[in-house]
Amino acid sequence: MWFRNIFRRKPLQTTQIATSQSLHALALSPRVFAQLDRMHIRSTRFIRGGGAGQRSSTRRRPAVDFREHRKYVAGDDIRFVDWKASARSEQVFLKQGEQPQETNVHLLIDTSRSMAWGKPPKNHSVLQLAAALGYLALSSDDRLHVVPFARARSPENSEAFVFKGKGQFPALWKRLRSFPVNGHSDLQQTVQRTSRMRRGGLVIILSDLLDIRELNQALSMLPRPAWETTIIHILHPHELEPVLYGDVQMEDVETGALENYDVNAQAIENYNQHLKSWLETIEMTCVENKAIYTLVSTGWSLETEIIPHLQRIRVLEPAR
Amino acid sequence: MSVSFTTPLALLGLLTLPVIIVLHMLRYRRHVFPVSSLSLWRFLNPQLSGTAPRRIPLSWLLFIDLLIAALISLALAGPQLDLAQTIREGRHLVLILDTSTSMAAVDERPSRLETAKGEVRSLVSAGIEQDAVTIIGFNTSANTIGDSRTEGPPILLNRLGEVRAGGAGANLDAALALARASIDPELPAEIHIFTDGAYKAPEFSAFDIPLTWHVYGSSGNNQAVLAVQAVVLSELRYQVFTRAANFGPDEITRDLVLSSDGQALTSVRITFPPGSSIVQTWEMTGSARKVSVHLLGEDGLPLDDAAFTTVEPAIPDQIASDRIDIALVSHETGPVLRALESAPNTSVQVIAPEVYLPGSRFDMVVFQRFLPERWPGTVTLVLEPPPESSLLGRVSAVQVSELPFPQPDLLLTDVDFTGVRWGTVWVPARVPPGIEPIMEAGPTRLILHGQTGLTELVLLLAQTSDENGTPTAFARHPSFPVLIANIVQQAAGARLPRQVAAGTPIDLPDFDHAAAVRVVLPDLTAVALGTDRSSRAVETGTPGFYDFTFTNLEGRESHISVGVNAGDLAESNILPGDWPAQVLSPPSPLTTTQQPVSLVPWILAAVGILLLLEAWVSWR
Repeated sequence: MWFRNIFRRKPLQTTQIATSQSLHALALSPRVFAQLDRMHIRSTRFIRGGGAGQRSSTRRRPAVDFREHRKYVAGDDIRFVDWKASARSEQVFLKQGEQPQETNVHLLIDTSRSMAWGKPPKNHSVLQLAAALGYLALSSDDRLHVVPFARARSPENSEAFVFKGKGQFPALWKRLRSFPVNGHSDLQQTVQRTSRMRRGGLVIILSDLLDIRELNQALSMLPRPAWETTIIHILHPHELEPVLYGDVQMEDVETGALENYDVNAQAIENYNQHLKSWLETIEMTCVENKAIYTLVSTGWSLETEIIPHLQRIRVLEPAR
Repeated sequence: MSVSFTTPLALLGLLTLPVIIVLHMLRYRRHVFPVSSLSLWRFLNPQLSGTAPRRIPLSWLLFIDLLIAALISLALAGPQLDLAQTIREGRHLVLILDTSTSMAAVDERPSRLETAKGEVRSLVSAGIEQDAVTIIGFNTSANTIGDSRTEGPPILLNRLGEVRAGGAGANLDAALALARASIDPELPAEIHIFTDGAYKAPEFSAFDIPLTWHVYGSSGNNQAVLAVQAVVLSELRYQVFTRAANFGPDEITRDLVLSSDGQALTSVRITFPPGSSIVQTWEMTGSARKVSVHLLGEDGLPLDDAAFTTVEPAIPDQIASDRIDIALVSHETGPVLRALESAPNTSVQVIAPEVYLPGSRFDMVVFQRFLPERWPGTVTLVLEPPPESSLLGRVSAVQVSELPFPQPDLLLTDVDFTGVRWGTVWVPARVPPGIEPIMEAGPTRLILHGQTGLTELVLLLAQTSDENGTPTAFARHPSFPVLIANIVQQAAGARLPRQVAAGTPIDLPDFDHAAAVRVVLPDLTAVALGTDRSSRAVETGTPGFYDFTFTNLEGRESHISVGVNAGDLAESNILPGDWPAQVLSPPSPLTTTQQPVSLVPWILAAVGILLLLEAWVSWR
């Protein structure tokens, strides 16, 4: 009858929260692997590393590839004495070269519930991008720390997983897929735990940054030159250009709070202005803390848009 | 044109409209849209946010729901569109149909009467729904043929179909009086008169009801046998007189044929000058019972081309005796005895009251200043009742000076007591039931007449002679013997006439003389009237011989024929005479009324369509 329509609940017309079952289809394609094999994550030599790696460092050692001289001291290997330079002087000089090192790459992945919003959800893009960046780190013999961050009841949400070597990529992929998506974003606590590591390293934060109150404090814990921080801001296209209209009741997927709004053209215009202001605030905070900031839409393709974009802003660079 | 509501209170249902709007707002509030974070939206104008949407969610569904609720409320209120409609008001149609003989004229095919009946039928059919219709027929008298208020139109039309022309005379006054009496005072009346106008037009100046005339007939070419009479000259000779007339404008020659007992005896060729009448006499040998005269050929009214009569006396001994035996029970033999003896065919026997035997067989008994213990069971005349009796109780005397006021009664035929000084009048304490006054003077009853048991009783309460035996003014009045003769005639029983005019009913003898009656009509149909007969007369419409067979109480039969003749000086002249121009009544008034047309079916149909539309909008 006519009145049944009043109580009939219409199907939602906006984006849905995705489930983890769909993550299996997000594996990187061979073409992406081929693309990634030709580049690596850019970092400065001032980052303190350790062990044997492929990254340049400020550390020196007697080597054939000449970087600089130093005076010979007893016990040095005489094979590295620069006899010609020593002949022109009254001292014996030893040839020194650069000692390559490994770098700690920290991938801080936002696994709060808001990352599961959108269609496709934002964590799909994050999963692919984290896999790509992890692959690059493992290819460069870096020590990869994958840290999901969200204020959740499960301890898995704050545990750091360490990977080393290219052969660890399948384990990395499996781990990435297993991260639950729930709870609130907890960036400050996660950064604080990361900053306790003495050596420093590359920190790449993948988040929608919907709670920016702690962003400044978090970034201040990762000072240069020991830490090089890159923030990749992941947003859904509908967050950049909302499609809602009319009298709606909005539900915050993280907090469950409900609010009623009358979304009209003026409201959309105001939304765009405030969105722009919000993004500028985040970028300014990053600049002040010497962090690299970039905005990535989940609507972008990893192969054709995200990786070239990261290359363009010099987060990635061609391999030597 | 306006709209009204039968149940305006149902319009309160329109209060459901805000409820539907609220339900729609509630429904829209239930739409929850998940967002990644409300922080992105908190900057919105606070005036636009709240706990519930403030704007009415305009949608097709809301519009249809509101429309459906409004229409249902409207339908419950019973809206009516009052359309101005011009209709003819119901009326009472009184249709007066002339059934006299002249209406059988065939100058209008099939006849004037049938043509008139066709128009009557059309009027009845046209007003069958809203009109009341009364059909009255008239010739020598007027009678109601049918009335739609008491019987259905089919019965009315059936009775109309049975009407036949017959009857000499056109008593239009009686018909109009009957029409006026039958008019429904609640309805506008309209009287239609269907006649050929072959009679003198009555005066209508005082008639206040619209009359519409339907006059038929144009040709006056008619010849008729106006009269026939057969007289027995001797045992084997009889004489027949007849009068024939030509009412046409041209001279015409026709053969006049004499028939006896169904056999043509002789004929004579007669040339009629225009507007003339001719007497023809035949002296015939032999004996005959029934004689008829016919005009051969055709004319405008075939019905009056023959005349019929009987030769022998019409009253056989078994029905009525030639002498009326009367017993006068009285000590006086003054004016009463003289009046009784002056009546024709009477044999009066004076009996002293002391020797009167109640069981004596007389055709009539007259009691003067005496009354027996019980009524004698025959025609009884009571004159000057005694002061005390068991039949009338105590009788007192009053003086009467008012003028007498007579009632219509056969006993008062040719009786006129105007100017009589009544003097003393006897007033009985009680009057037998069934005895009604036929003449009164103020509150005092002078003459009473009626049937009580087997006795036909006449009470003559005026004094006829004083103490000295001198007749009073009443007894000396010329009308007194006429009144007595009329009473004696009542005692004589019925006498069938040898011939009557068509339309005149033939009175039948009472039950004592004819227990059973069988009549063979001119069209050879037989009608049997037994002991349960309700009518005391036989209607005569069709001319010809009406052959009666009477059976008395002893079982003996007697046969009498009565000739019924249509020829009449007035009726046979079928040419409408000095008749006024046709008068037409004004047309029936048209009335503008507000005809309510219910809008509920249309509204419900619209609701049905809207429901289908809503279903389509909802499920598409």
